[in-house]
Amino acid sequence: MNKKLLPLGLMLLSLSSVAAEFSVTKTSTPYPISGGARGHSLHRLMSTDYPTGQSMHAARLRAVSWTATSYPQSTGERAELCLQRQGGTLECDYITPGSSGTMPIPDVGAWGYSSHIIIRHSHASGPYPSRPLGSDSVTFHMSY
Amino acid sequence: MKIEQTPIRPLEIGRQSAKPFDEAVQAPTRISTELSSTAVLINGQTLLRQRVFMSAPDVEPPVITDKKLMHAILPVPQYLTMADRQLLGEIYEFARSESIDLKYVDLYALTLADYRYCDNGKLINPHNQGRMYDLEGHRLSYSFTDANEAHAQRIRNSPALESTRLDKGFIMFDTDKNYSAMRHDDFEFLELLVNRFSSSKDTIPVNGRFNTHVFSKREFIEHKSQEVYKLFNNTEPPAKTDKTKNANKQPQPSAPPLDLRATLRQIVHKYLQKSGLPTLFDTLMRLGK
Repeated sequence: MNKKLLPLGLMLLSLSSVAAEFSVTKTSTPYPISGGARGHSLHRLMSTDYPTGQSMHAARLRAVSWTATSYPQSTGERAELCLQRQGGTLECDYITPGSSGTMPIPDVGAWGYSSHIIIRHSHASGPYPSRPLGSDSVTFHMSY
Repeated sequence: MKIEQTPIRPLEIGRQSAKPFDEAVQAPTRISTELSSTAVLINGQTLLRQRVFMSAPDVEPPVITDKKLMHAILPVPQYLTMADRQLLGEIYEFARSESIDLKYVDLYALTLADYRYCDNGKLINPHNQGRMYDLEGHRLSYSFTDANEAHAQRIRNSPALESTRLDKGFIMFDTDKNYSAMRHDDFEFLELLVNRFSSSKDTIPVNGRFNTHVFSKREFIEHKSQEVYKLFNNTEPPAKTDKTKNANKQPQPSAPPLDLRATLRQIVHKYLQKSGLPTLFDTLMRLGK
């Protein structure tokens, strides 16, 4: 019996060791900065963004690339990229407004339904409200 | 029974205070404004509410203490504690009395609010840990300008730091290039505050240095590595590559998803062919017999 199940076991073992990568880009226009409230754009993956037939719970976020817009009417502008992992706390990195970049993400678990990325914009002074020049975009680099 | 009738006076709208504005700030006084006959107390707390909270002068916005409410829609200044607000009121009054542009205080208040909002800086990742890259794969790091670095060191080594009423944790965070290179206070003004709100006897003079605040667009240095790093395949740490190799492996921000099922099928098929083992179909047929 064991001899008969050996090929099946080997096949399953080979399946589990296969890694595949894919990328999804999300674009969103951040809200205007109004008073003390920040402008922000929220980016999350939907189930339709995952390859057909694959569980989104098994996917890992490997890196994030972003392009952040700016608020031309604002002075003392600031921006930050924040990751909200599933069941985890929010963690943020300061980024330069109007810049692009990439950040590898240490593998700390699945990237699920409740996980998302926020780009936040604030300023020291500006009109009320201060409007963004364009959109923020975030590319999720995922792997299985 | 005699009833005395008091004549009704018209409302005195638009009457200005006889005292100059600065004098009114030093000794809080009720003054009337053109917009309303309601008396307004112009003191540090009022300035804080108007300039930072953008609330009515007599409205104290609530303090947000719940860390679960880390949503972008909440006004960040509301994370300032009551002790912060009390001290900021005093700083506004000090700035007004010394003819300092109040934008210096605004910037200090907003930077402090950011720090409180991020759970006293705990939610902020340090800059210079090799986590940031540009889209070409150059590693990025950040530092203060030379002038700001010198000022930051002076603040950190200042004898006034021991007795200052300003939050020392915030000052260390604000003057640490690994956290605050990209956003920080005006260090010359911060040095003045650390000194003036301490028990230090060596008082730093204002000397008209802060009459006008000018925002600079970019007051930090961005360092870009010469090496280009290959990202995405191994995230920790990224493997170095030369530019020619990396040119073919640039991240494709809008690359379409792979057809994973086809890839798996090909790999399994190739594996079973090489191994000389029976195919899955053969195995199932044998098991069925």
